Amino acid sequence: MNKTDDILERLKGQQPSIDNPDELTEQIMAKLDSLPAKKESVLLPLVRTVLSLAAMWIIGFFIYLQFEGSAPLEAGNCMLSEVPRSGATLREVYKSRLCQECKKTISYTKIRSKLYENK
Amino acid sequence: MQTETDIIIKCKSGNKEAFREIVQRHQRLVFSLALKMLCDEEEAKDIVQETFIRVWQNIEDYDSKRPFVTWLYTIASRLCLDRLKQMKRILPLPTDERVLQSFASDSQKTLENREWAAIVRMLAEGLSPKQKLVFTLSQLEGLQSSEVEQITGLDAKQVKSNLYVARQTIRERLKHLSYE
Repeated sequence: MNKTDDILERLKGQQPSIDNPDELTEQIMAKLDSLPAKKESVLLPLVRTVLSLAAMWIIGFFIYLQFEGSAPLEAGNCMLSEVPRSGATLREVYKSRLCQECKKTISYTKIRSKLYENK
Repeated sequence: MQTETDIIIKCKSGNKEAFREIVQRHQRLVFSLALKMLCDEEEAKDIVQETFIRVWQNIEDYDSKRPFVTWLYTIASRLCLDRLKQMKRILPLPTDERVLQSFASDSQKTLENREWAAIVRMLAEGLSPKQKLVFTLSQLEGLQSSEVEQITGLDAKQVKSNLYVARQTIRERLKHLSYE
């Protein structure tokens, strides 16, 4: 064993001691008594409740939008007129175009080409 | 005699007498770490007080699956590191070398607190706070590597490398002082 290891081993075998442990304990206990009592925060549960409600509302709204958005795509659900009448406004033409798109059957090849057209 | 778990359960329900028992059992351990880290007896006593106040304030967060001593060391170590940041660099005093010399030559010597401080000042000069903490916990306090990892939050590799550097620095220092 070299000198460094010898010194370190001997140090490990010893521990410093407190000259007056009871006095230190009393000081610690006295400090505990002088500590202010813990106050339960009112704000935190309130914020937690509001945020939970907001999160629930957002999730509910998201689910609602999902159903709402998917309904016109189903064939037969479309309530729009198929052929625009003469002198129809641009809005009516656009609506009937949407209706035609809605009722059109679509092949698997087309779906596939639409899916991959941006790749 | 009550087990430590029983005492801690009582502390969690706000029993101060049970907490007094905890303080009496463990204050020496915290003092030992703090003295070796800060090399000052009064600062060390201050850390002991702060540590136990933190323990009392956070006893509800203590996870009973973890050893209590490890949790206590973790709190004390953090306080010591914070205090080291606030303190000026700890430099050896001119008389410290004589203390080391007397300890090295007398294998039966029992160290007093001021002598402990002197020896650690001499040995740990130039170590970073983290290296000093790892060295103190594993070499001077004799803790297992896994315990040091839990206390410091370092992984096994980091603990090993910090300890290696600390030991090399101390070896060089002792060589410089003609002890090697």
